[in-house]
Amino acid sequence: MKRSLPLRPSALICSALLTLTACGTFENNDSTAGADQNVVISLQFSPRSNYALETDDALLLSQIGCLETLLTYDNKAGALKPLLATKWTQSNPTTWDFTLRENVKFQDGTGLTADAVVQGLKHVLAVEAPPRAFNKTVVSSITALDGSTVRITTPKPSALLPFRLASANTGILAPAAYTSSGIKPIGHCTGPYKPVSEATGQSISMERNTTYWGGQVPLAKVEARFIAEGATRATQVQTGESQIALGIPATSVAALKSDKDLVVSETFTPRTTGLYFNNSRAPFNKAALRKAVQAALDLNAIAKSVYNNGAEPAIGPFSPTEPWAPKGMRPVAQNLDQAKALLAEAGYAPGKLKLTLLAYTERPEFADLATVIQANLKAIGIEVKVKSSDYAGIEPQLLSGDYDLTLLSRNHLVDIADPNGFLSSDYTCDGGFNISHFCDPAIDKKIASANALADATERNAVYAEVARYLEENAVTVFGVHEQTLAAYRAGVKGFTDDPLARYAITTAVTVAKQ
Amino acid sequence: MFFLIRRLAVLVGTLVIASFVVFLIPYLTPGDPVRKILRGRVSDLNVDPVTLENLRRSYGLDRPLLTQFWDWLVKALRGDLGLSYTRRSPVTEMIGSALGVTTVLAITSLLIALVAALLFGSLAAVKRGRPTDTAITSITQGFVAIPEYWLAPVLILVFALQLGALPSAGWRGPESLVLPCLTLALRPMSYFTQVTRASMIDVLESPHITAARARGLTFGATMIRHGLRNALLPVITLFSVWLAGLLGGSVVVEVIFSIPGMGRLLYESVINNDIPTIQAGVISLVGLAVLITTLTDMGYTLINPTVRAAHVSA
Repeated sequence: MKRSLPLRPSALICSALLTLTACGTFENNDSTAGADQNVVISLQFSPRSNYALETDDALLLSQIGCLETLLTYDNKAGALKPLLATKWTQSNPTTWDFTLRENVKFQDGTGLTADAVVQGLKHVLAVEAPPRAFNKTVVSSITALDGSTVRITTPKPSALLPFRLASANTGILAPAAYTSSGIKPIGHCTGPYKPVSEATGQSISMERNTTYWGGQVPLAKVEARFIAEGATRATQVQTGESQIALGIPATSVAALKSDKDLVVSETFTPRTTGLYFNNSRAPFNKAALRKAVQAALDLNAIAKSVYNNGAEPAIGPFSPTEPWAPKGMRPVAQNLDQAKALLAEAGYAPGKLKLTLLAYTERPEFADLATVIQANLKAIGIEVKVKSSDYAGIEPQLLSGDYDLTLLSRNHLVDIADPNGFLSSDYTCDGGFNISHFCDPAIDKKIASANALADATERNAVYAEVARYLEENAVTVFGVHEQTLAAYRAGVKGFTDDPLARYAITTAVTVAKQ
Repeated sequence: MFFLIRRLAVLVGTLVIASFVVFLIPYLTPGDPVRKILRGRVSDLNVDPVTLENLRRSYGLDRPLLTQFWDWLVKALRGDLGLSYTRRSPVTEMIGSALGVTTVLAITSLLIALVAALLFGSLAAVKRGRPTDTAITSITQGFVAIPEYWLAPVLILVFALQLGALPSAGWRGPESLVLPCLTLALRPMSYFTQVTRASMIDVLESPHITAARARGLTFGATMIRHGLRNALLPVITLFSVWLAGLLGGSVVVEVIFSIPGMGRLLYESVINNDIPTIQAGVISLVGLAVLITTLTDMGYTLINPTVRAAHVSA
């Protein structure tokens, strides 16, 4: 007699899959891809700090069109522009008054008032790790003068305070957003797009803010997806699952450029990769030796081969498109004869100098870059051993000055849209990140003087002078200015890849009917 | 009973040892843990020394190591595994959510692998020495060598980019399971197939199969009732080993397909030096691994009476 099986395998597997599917939490946001006036954007970073405004999460909130600041830095014009504040005046060297825009409402319906701004800014000052852009060393007090005027004082005369109010870290949210369990951005921004739901670590969905102070908002829905893998972001925009993808890896560019339905944008970032010397001890306390290394490097080949043309040979710490870059500078061309002569001038015969080059593994291109530098320096008789580690592993050596040579990639506008913070921290005697261990009181004085210069042209001239000095004295060999790559579907209009990573979804972005 | 008590003692002992080892990791690796925490929050390499010291005090990282470990252990026993240094939310919630996702991914992948392996393994055993057997054996041996970081992009290229049939990434419904599960299923399927084939050959050559056929059972019924059932034992062992491994999350698959599972959570936690999440995550995984091994052993005793007898005599 045949006996039937108690459970058929197929039924068992189906029920198991159904149960599993039910217990796993899928993100159920409807994809907005392909629909009229809806956009999906793939971002490289996810919110990592529960939207704490003192962290890089503030940049993300600003990128997706939610968070706004009192002022904004117009990268093309090289000047500050009004945003939530319409006017800013320096009533005395240490006091600035900001007049708020009228009729601005947070997305929860409450109005933007001076008290709300004061509360928001004080929150950033009071956190356990305040941002470099806005902390108690640069801000003394914040008060509401009246319903629409905020007064901020500084401990020292500062022309740069308004730049601090353009940093995403000083974004303003409705008072209800600041809770004991952290920042709650949903429903509390002033921007054109209103976050409505979030799949943690996966995506955030937004809808048009119908009460936006800046007028009509073109896109009905926006979904920002957080995709860490660069190649996956590239695929998303290729398949049309996303309309815009940021942070495209250089290896995907050729494939994207060959697709006529896609546009690839390349923009200089304020990031320069360089070969840093320990200027405080032998052998690199000799300018001739530093210049020998500078002349030995083939920056063109590095930009082409290591960076797949996604970078340009550097002319100093700042790229030529920046308003504070010195005029008329050209990248130092490779000249092995000159390098050998400088090596001899420094007192080193070929083959006598053996050095260790530190390279950190968080930047994958450093492995190739170190190899090219090794070969370039071998050509003039300097033997280089490369030591790789994660950044945390080499940082103690960098900070203590127990090294000779290191590769470093630095963003010089990481705090505010002015290079003062970068120059102060990296190239002054007491700088907090003076990896070069470079000290010249005359340079310190120049950088400090710029902080009080209200005129941007005068200030930029000081920065340019310092940049020229650093390049000409080979304090650091600035290697390449890096570019950021973004890709978007041809139907997307008005998108600009912001080199400062503050904006992506703006009111200028529209999408053609598909 | 004694077996269970012994297993429980092993579980607790393993967890305590593992927790201490995991606790030490951030201190054994070079670099200041507080600087690492801050770098997880901001891209700025320049950190204010006053902020550093405030944060060190705030997280109690200025206390002796053993005091920190004892505090953590006492709280953990109360079910409080702390707050993530970066996300600032309870790590138990984060791990619960990630583990749910990884469990779906792992079990679905292994079920696909199991079904395919039973089919191909049995077929190869029945057709032993023939071209079908050779083909199945060669192909599965080849599959073992295919790494996930190669297979995943190829599947994306074919099914998402060329055919447009499946999503290239994300966790947005059953269709987003297909490519990651296929990627994860390939290697266990190959191992399962080889083990199934070997077990089935042993079983098919045993006298009780001949006896069953002699009693008039059809070949199919003999295979299912006597063949597969006996051949399943080593496959179940292998299944549990793979399950314990996959529940740790496949970093490669979860990162490439942008899946918010344990692998990605732990990967990001290590990058950001999020010590509470690393500790809680590793402890959960060690606990799960020991639990799965225990359950497998218990399952063994139920299926195979000789194993039960061995436990009793022990």
